[in-house]
Amino acid sequence: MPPVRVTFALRTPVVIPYTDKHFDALLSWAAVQKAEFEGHEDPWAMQHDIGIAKHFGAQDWCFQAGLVTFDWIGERNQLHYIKRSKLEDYADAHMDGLLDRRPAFDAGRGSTKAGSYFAPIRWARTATAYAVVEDRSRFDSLLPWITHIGKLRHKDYGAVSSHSVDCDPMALEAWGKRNLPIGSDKAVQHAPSVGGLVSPYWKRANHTEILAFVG
Amino acid sequence: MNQAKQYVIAVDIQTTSPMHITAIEKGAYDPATQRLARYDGKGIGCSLTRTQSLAHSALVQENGNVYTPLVPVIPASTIAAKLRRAAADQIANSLVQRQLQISPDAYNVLTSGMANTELKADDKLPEVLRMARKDAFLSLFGGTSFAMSAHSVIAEGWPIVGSTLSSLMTPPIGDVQPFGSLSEMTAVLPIVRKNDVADMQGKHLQDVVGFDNLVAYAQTEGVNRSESKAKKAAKEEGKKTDLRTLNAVEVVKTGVAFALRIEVTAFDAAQLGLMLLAMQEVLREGQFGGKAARGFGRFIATGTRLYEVDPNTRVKTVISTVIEGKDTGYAFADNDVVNASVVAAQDYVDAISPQLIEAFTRADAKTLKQMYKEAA
Repeated sequence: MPPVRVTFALRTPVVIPYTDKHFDALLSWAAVQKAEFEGHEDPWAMQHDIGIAKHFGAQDWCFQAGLVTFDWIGERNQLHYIKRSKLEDYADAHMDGLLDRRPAFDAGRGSTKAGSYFAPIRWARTATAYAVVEDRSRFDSLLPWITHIGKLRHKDYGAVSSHSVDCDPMALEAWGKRNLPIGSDKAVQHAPSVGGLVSPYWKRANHTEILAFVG
Repeated sequence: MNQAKQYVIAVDIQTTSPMHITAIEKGAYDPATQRLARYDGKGIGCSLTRTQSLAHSALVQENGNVYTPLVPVIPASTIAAKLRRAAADQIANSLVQRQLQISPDAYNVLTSGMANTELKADDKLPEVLRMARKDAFLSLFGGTSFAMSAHSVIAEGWPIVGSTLSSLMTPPIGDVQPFGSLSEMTAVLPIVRKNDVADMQGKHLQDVVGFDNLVAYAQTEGVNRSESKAKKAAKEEGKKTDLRTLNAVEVVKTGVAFALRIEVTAFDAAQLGLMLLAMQEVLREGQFGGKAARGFGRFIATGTRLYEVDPNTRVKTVISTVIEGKDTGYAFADNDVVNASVVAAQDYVDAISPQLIEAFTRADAKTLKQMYKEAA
């Protein structure tokens, strides 16, 4: 089971993640994208088939994949964007007979509410992650599918221009810098907390007692 | 199993009039020194155009200061909103022609993608996802109360200059422009609001308004102005009494080239075709940003290209030109992939059902599951 270091070169600014980003989450996302592209009946079922070795605690398990770290450059900036509906469009649609009833338009509330949004962005030269690989072929097949890292992928933020994989014994220790199951013998700079151990990390229903990396 | 395909639509454009896309930050322009400050400083208020910093191109100057260049951009959200609206218009026109109607909420979901009820991401059953993937519009643009992800990536419109080349999704189609700094690509224009009554301008002013009314207006204005001055002298807040204003606006100069890049994951030909129809409409409209009534933001396409992407290697292969020049009315290029996609998209638009749009609008997973079963 080779320990590896994966380095992603980035093409566009990254939306600064407000939580730790686990490398296996990127691979799971890639696995779902690949499965969907290939016409899989239930792409979500493929999210944990990522070729990474598993680590078992007292009851739960996690992948041996560490947190993604960024080589930031420059200052943090704010990306500002607005969402709004155009009153004129509604008027035109109503006049054309497209709408089945007279529309109500309120930019202050409801579905036509306008909004002003900010996202913190910053340039990064690279993003790096460590992992212990179990199925190299599956792992390698997923890496090109990690096309973006972070939020606003659909606006091309955090775009990956290339990646490289290097065998690195440091990964045997470095992967442990992540959420670990209770009872894990890898916990060094960790504290009891509540969070996810596998993707989807954002889903509260999956959250459980864990050992969170605090180093 | 159907194999999807990935494409990149690349369009290089060039501004043919000043372009301004308002940034949230406000600047100040000092006419005496002709300097623009990108903060609220000395001088007249200046509305800034949207820019991005290029930290990767930062230079350390001789004095030790770090110089981070800024470049003007066309925000991805501006481009995406235009494309979504153009695609939604195709659907709306088809429904009107077929004398079919949709609810205002459904119309809102089409044009903006905003949720109509609370988000129901947990109701995204596999059948709902498959229905959304099959539907060209929803697959491309996503949204709705299901918080569907978009199968398109619409990039920031970067200027085509040396310092942005590494940020482009695909290389420029035409030449790289020699601009180095923001000031070479932008200019500051004055925006003057006149008050013809106070200035006693206009051939028929006295006939239309009347001499007595003009005198009364001048007297009131005079009183207001002296009160305001007195308050200002006493450092109190006074009302603005003069309708004449001088502001400045930062614009991208005419002749600056930008790269529009869109990646499409197409689960069938109609999905690429619908994005092409939308792009054609955006090019025909030929305008980005604010102050359109003053003729700002006009542009022309100078080159287009369609790539196929191998998602397993990320290698991009050029298929052909995708849309011809403005002199052809931005007609589609004669190419098998382009032709088949556009025909499939037109068939999709001609047949789209209001029931499907309404079900996604109401986040009605049960109905969508039933529709998926019937379609299968």
